[in-house]
Amino acid sequence: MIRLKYTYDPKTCKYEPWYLSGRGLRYQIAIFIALSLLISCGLFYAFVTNFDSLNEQLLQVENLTLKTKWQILEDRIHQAFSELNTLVEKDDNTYRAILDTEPLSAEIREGGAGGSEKFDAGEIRNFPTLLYDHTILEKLKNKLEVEVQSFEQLDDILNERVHMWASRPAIQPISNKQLDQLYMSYGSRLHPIHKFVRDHNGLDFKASKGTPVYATGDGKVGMAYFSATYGNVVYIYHGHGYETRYAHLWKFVVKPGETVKRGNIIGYVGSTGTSVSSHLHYEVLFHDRHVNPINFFQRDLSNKEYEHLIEIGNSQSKALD
Amino acid sequence: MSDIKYHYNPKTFRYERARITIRDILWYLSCLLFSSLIISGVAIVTYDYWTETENERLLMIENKLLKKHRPILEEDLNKVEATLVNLKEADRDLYLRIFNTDPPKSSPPSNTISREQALLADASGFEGLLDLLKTKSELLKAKSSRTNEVFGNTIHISEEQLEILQSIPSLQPVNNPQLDLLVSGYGKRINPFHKGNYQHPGADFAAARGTEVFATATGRVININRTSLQAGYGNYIDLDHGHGFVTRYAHLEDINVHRGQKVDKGFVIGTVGNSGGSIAPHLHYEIIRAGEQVNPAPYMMEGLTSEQHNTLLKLSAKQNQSLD
Repeated sequence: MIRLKYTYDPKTCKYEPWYLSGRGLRYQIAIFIALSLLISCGLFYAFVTNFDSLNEQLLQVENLTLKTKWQILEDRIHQAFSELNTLVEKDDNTYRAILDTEPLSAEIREGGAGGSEKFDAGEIRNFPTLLYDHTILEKLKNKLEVEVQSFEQLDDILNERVHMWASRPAIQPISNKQLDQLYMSYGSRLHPIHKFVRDHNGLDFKASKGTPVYATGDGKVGMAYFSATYGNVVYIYHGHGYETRYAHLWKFVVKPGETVKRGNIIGYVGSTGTSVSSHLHYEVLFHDRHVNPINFFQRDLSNKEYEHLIEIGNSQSKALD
Repeated sequence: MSDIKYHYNPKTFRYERARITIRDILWYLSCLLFSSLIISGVAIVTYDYWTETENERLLMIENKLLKKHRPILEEDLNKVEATLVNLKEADRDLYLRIFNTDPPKSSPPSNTISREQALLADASGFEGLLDLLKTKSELLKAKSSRTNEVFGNTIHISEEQLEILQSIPSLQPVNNPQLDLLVSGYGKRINPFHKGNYQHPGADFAAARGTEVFATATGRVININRTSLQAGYGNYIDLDHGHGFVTRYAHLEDINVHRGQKVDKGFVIGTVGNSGGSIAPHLHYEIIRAGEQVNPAPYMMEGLTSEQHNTLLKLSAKQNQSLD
């Protein structure tokens, strides 16, 4: 780029190569540096006054990224909160209504454990976003804890209810298929042997000797013995106030204290005790008072459905033993 | 010493006087600019490094805190979300155990909004379409209102016809704005006690104990039954609406009417309870037409849009466990 320069030396009459040196060079460099500095100062000044510092810009970029990530977290918190609220609402308005229990009180709902703050509230007191999200997450945690307990409670209640529903006498003690006739009389009637009017507290199922008799609900065999009037009789205590009796059995196949499931065979139809023909006398008692057993089964249940129910009961008892 | 500089021109074999060209100036200036850029750059970086503005300080603190607190928050949130998933599972499980079927899928409204937003986001292409749809819907609206007018003018309902209409039990027996209170309908259902299939002759509305029960049409109380027996209908009311319509409201807690009383449509006749053979507080509602229990769902259309009524029919058709 730089072409060699020459000067004409009149003494030697020659063109001599010329180099910048000594004072001239120093002078040139000084000017160059001075100019550079001047321009630098200008640039520096322009930058500092017009732009944020580089550091600040970097920090701002980082800040933006961090805040975006934080925003995602906050959205997740809100999402979780709304999901929890849906569950709480379902708990209070659906499950507690269905299970017939009082909704949790506001005190318990708002209570929770609280206080176990993992974060240092002091250092973030000037940062409302952080403080807000921490606070709301703490609230969420407490509420969730209460809800978890509430669901456990619901589960317990439901278990108890399921047990109650299973123990309610709910089927016919004899299959329709093997039933010859159902005597619907409940209440006063003429006793076939004693020949006087007395209360008849149960239903009579006419069926041939040896027809299996099924437990009508889950329960415990209270008594199984021979009585002069009832003949071979089985008492099942279902709990929740219910008791069923199966009388005039040919024989019974359960022992007192034994647990039975709905659909388990407890004995076979016979004509023992004060009975004129083979039939099952079936009683349902609620809190020691006789009630009409007709209310405690569906008469229109199909044979297939009935057999299915018996099967369910038996498969359950197998699974439990 | 002469100041005149010469260059040697190899083409002409002569020394020519050197002049300062534009190229020289440009070269000098670019060198100058380059060096000053470097100097100012170094100066700015150094200045940045050594000085700290208030803004920077705040940003640094905030970033530090954000970095520090995010993992704390995230850890907690992860736990919360895991617990929530379990809880939702427990919720499903509870529902399944009570009704023997999965809970109805409630389409979250947020979902539809986001879809809408997604559409709007690249909707510029649809703008024309939107306008077209708008005009079309306006036209339809106008047409339908005209049609309504025509019908309004031509339908004359006689007193007698009005009476028949009023005897049709068209209301829902409980206030059910979300429709979700109807938990089990008419038809083959699972019996909650023995778990077998049986014919469920009415519709079950699950509602809290004490919820008001309305007469679904104008009628007369023909039957009131109160019992402590935990089987059958429990406390129930039969209303005769005439023209072959009778409605039954079962498993009540309180009964607010007496036998023979005339009630208007919407009159509060009692409250929801758990009496009789019931596993949960609910209203068992039957429509008996000409002596036979019929599916009540198609009748309950008053105050519902056809869409809502469709939902109700769907809910009613679900083959789940009744509350009996």
